[in-house]
Amino acid sequence: MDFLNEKFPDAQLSDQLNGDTEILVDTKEYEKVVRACYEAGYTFCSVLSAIDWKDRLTLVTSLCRIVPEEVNTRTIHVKVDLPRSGGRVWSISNLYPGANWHERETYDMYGIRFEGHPNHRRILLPDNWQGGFPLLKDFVDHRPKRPRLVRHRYAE
Amino acid sequence: MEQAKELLVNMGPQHPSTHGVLRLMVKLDGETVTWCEPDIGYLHRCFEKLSEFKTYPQVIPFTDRTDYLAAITNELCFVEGTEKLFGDAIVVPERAQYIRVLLAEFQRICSHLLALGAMAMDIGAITPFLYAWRDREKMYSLFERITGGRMLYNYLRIGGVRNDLPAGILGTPTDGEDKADQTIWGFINYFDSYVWPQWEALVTDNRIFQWRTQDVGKLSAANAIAYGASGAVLRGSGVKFDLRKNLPNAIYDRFEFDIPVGKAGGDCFDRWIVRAEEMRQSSRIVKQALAWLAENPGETMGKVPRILKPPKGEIYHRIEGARGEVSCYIVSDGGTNPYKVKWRSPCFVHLQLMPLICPGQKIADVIAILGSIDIVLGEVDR
Amino acid sequence: MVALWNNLPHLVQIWLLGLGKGSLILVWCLANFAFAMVLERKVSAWMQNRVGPWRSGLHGWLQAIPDLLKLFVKEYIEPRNVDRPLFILAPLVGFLSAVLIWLIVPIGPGGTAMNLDIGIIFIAAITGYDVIAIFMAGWGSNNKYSLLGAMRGAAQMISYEVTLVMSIIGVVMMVGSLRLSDIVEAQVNRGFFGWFLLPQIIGFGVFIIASLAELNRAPFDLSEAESELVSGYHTEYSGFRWAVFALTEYIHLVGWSSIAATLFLGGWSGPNLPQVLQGLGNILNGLGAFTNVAGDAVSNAAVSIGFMNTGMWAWAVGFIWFALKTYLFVFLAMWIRWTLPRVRIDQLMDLGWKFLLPVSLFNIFLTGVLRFVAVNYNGLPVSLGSFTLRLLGLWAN
Repeated sequence: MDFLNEKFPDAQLSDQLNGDTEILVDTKEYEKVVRACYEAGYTFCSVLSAIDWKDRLTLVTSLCRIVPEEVNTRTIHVKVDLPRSGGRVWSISNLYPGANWHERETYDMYGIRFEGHPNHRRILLPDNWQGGFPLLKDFVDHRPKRPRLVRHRYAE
Repeated sequence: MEQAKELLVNMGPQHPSTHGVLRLMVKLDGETVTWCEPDIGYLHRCFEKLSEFKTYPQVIPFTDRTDYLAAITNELCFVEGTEKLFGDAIVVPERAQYIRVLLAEFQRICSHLLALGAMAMDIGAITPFLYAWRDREKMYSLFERITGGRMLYNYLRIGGVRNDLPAGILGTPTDGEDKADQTIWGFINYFDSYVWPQWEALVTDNRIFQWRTQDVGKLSAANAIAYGASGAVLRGSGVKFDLRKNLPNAIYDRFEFDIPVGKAGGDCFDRWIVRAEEMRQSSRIVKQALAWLAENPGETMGKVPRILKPPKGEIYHRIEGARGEVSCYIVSDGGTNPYKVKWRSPCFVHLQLMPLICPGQKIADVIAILGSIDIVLGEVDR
Repeated sequence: MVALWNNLPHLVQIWLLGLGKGSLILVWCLANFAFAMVLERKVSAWMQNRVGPWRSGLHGWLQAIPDLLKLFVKEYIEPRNVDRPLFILAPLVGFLSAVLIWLIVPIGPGGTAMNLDIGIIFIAAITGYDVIAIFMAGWGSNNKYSLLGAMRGAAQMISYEVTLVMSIIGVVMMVGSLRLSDIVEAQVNRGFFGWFLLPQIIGFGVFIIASLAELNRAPFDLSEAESELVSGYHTEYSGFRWAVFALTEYIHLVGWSSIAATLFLGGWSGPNLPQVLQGLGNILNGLGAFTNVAGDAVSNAAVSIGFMNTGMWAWAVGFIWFALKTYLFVFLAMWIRWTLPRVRIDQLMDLGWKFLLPVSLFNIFLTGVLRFVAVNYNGLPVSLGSFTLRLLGLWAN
């Protein structure tokens, strides 16, 4: 991906096994890189998730192109390293509305907060879930203790 | 006294047409929807967490259960992703590849049949739904003979498939309707000559059905891409993009098939037409695979180490599932268990479209739209 | 017996007659429900490659009895904060409106419980109660689905009632009477195949569509709309209260079918066995051109059972014809229900007000013009349909 090389010479670019491009950027650069990808035609956010490396979290944003003629279309994985707790990062859901729920799920599972997200709530777990972030490697399931239930927001 | 202008209706989690356990919060002004938000998570089964504690082959049955109506394509996604993690160490025999494609496309017909049937039922026609079940029963009988399971197969293996096709299951191109539940050729011929025309006549050409679906739930191409839609929803909006063509996994580049796209701006009827047409294209692919398989016997399992330990690495594998882009992000730390599996399910993304499409439509249209984007809640919540 | 009856005081006679007729109508309604419900399930099963009920009775034809027994002993579940009087009364009001239709339907020659001279108006009035029942159920249930269903039901039934009455006006104009027995007599007098089906073919089409909407049956079952509103206005009902709604639905269905049969298919009129045999004999004899043994034998047989033309026999034959024609419409409604998807509320309203109502008004206009021509210029056809029949030589009046 030449345009990334040109624009962000500091970022680490590497190839995945199947030919996808990985780019590891700084938290501050994240917004710029995603915007650059968007402008280069990568307007389809395939998935957004995180990896818990036990000493840090890596946020992975996979951006694709929807070009009908292109064969073997490849994905760009924009990676950001974040601290294991209290990580905050710019929300791409204003650029990619489809990433909205992916970001909510990432928050739900890893506790990464997305700044500027329009609806920053839990999604798969209950809104009043108190049990922590399940996909972290050190998550301990405290069942059978039930999480404390509070009155639901939408109960009218 | 303050007067309520809007009525908040909770559709689900116990509602007859939410395709599982989905809760749709809908605000109504009379019969018109002004606001809609899905609430999911009722079927969350911790697939991603569980798979971190299982070895690679043990994850395959879990993938079946995410989208339980198109199990083979899910298995295919995970299995191929894992194979790619091994690089060149695992070579899948050609015959196994053909069997995979054959089953994946067969599964696609099966899944789309139910999608169409459920959508027809959402619109109020119950008989087509039961016709879908009738034909799916035949397909399930075939699946049962091939894989041993009717719905959840655990049939694909890393490096091939579990067993070769049983003798006589392929049949001959002259097999007719009477062999529909005995040979694949029989079913495909039955499908082309009977099932498809019946759907066309009973539902697609039905005037009331067209009233209910045309110009309902319009989704523009730009919005479809921005919201991450894929599969029939994306193609219904007129974008000719199919990962089987644009990023061929397995051996899809050897097959000849067309990609149907919607022409009327992405309404429910477009999505219906695209799904119906896709079934015919799948039947074309199945026929080509059948012709190859009949002539080329051989191994169906490649050489695979006894203990599967992929080298360190990450892989993102995208394939075209029955409902759209199914993909998995697998991270290996060199151990027997995947370090992380992220499952990208199309239904999860498609359900986000509801707040976008629904406002301004009637409450009956919400159900039609929900049927037309074809969600499986097992896959939404994983 | 007769003497005993005549010696009774007049008031007692009236009461006994009323009780007798009422019980007969109730039994008749329940029997029809039992049959129509199993028929519906059988027909749907047949259309959907299923078996349907098969256990109780011969091939499952007694399924209604265990069903009703089960519903009878079921618990009444009553949600919190229901409007109790409305909630409990609603099924009964609906049931009443369905049963009352049968008061005036002629189920045989002279076989009406009450030969009202305002028959058609009476039907229209009685049907209005059904709207009230649906609205009572929807409002009283304290449930949003029920309320939505009730709103839909009320809007739909009120708009279609207009269309429905308008579509019948054509028949009334041809007969000149609102009495149902007069309408049947008129069709009998028009001779062989003198039903109003062909002369009033437009009115008939409108009537069928509008009565489906009036009955809340698919494709117009918006007020129950299973896939949208769970069960619409009877979502919160359980046990026998729900069963009463089911009863109402089927009794209504059979009731409206009987009215359709009366208005458009000649009600109880139809050839009985001697007439059929006589006709067969005539045909075998080449319509009098030549006589042969077979033709004579058939004609003689017809004469020998000539007693069937009168009395109880004629009544029974009329009743059989009536039941056959009624269930023809019942089957038609079931056929439509299990084939078509449901329309949307705005499409339903458009169909009713913008299409069916103008068409039925046009039908009135057309009938009026042709009637005028026929009365003032004797010999011209009453309407297009009978004109066709006249060309075919089938109608010699």
